[in-house]
Amino acid sequence: MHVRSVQRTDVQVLQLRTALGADLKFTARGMLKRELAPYLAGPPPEAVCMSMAGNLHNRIGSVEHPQPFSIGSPDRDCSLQPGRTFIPYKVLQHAMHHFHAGWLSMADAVYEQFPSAKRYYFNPPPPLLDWSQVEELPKQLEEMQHLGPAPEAMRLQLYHMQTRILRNYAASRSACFIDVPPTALDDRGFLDRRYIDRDPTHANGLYGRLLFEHIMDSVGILK
Amino acid sequence: MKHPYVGLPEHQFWNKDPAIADGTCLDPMVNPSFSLSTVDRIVTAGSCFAQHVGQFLRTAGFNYLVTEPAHPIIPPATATAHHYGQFSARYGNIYTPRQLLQLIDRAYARFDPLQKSWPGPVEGTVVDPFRPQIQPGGYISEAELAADREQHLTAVRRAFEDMHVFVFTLGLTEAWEDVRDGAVFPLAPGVSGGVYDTNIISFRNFDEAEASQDLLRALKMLRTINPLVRIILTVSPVPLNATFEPRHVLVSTTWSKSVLRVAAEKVARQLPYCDYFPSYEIITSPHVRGRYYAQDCRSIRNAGVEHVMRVFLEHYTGIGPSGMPEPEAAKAVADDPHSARMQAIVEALCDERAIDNQ
Repeated sequence: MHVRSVQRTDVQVLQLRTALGADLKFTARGMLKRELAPYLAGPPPEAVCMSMAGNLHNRIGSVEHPQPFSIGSPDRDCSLQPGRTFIPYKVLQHAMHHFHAGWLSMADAVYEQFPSAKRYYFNPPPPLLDWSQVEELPKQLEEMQHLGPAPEAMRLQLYHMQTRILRNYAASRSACFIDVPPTALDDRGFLDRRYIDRDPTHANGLYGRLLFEHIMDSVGILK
Repeated sequence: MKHPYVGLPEHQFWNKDPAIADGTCLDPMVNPSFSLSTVDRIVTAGSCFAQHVGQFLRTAGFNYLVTEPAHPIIPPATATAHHYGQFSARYGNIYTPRQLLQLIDRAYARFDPLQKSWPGPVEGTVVDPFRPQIQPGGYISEAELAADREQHLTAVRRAFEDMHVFVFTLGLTEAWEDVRDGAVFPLAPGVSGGVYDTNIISFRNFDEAEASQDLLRALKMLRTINPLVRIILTVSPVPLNATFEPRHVLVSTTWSKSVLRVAAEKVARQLPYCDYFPSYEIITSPHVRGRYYAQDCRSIRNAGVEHVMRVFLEHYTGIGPSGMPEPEAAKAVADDPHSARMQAIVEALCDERAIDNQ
């Protein structure tokens, strides 16, 4: 894990990263405290804005799984689709909670380091509608390209399930949940094509700037 | 002096059994009619005790057939909580022979019960009346339940058609029936979803004639579906948790287990491809002096399950205690390879992003 900081006037952007395969539940808290130590020496921040586990929805459902699946939905047709394993909604919801547990434990550790700061949690960007919107797929995804993207509605549903978990987490920690700026969404709720990066699992720098302003606006720092 | 018992094997005489001195030696199984190997596909169904049997066979390296596993993206903790892999398909406990019979009929579209769903324990959810506890929290809609049931019954058919050996553990005689079409539910409505409406729900306590007849019909059907299947019947030694009969639950337990034991015996004698395996006797015998029951006088301790399975494996596979296959459960559960690969890609892409920002 390492911490990288980018100085703004009175805002620090920290990117916390873990080594691949790290067992978050057991290793994160201690490591995180060590990584944050240099930032604890100065005056306490007024606000802590955080986003973690933003790509779990992509991990599960951006690329079609070799054993394709569908998910029960309160909003969509639930009938079985040939060649797809049906996963009841609450089964996947339970799994999503399970996947998030370690990350959110790490988020707890960050909040706990700054007890006097106001808490904010911002939602990661939604999936993009169509891989063809990406000019050139990164090489890591080329080998998965034969699988193709998962169905659109399912990708959006996974993102919404994740959003619900993160929103509930924020509420349970008395953190203000900052959702994606509405202008970043297309009419169906996917990431607007202006903010699509060179890979289908992340938004671009323009989105970063939009989000940054949105967060600053929500927090009220740079007004 | 000549009499009919002269020359009979020692196991037919109570006082010749070494298990009187040492209950762990008890082995009441005699002459199984077939043997099984680690390549035989084994399907289990029945009451709670059948779960132990299935888990033990799987961990002992046998080919425990699961036709309705959780999707690979579902982590083991979630799969367990939602009863995937508990039995060969996600049917939950099948307590009575009538329930087994109706499951076969439902799987092959010969019976379409009127009661499609029950209201779930959480408002706005529904549960499957035929496996009300399979989905904690219920299903989010009737349509979702219908889809999952369709997938489930497909998995049931696959299990019945692909199995080599079917192990069925009879558990109860008491059940709840829809008087409109005779559909039998494993739990009374209202216990875990559903509404107890005395106009359409009635209590049933199947007697030995009904239980035998249902079991015989069910197993004959399975043999028609799968002409080579061999069957092992057991009776659960787990006492009833509750009885609806106005008498002590222990008295109901004795009656219920007696009925099931008679049914299993009658059917095993009638069907040449069917054995009765005495797990009930091992756990409840005076030789073990109640040691295999836990503090609650109901749950079975691991030692009891291990004793049953030791005898089972010795007779059906020839594997003695020292030759037990390495338990598979000890191996680490691997992550879904696709999810692990996607995680690595997402991380790698994220790393690239960080580099670009510098």
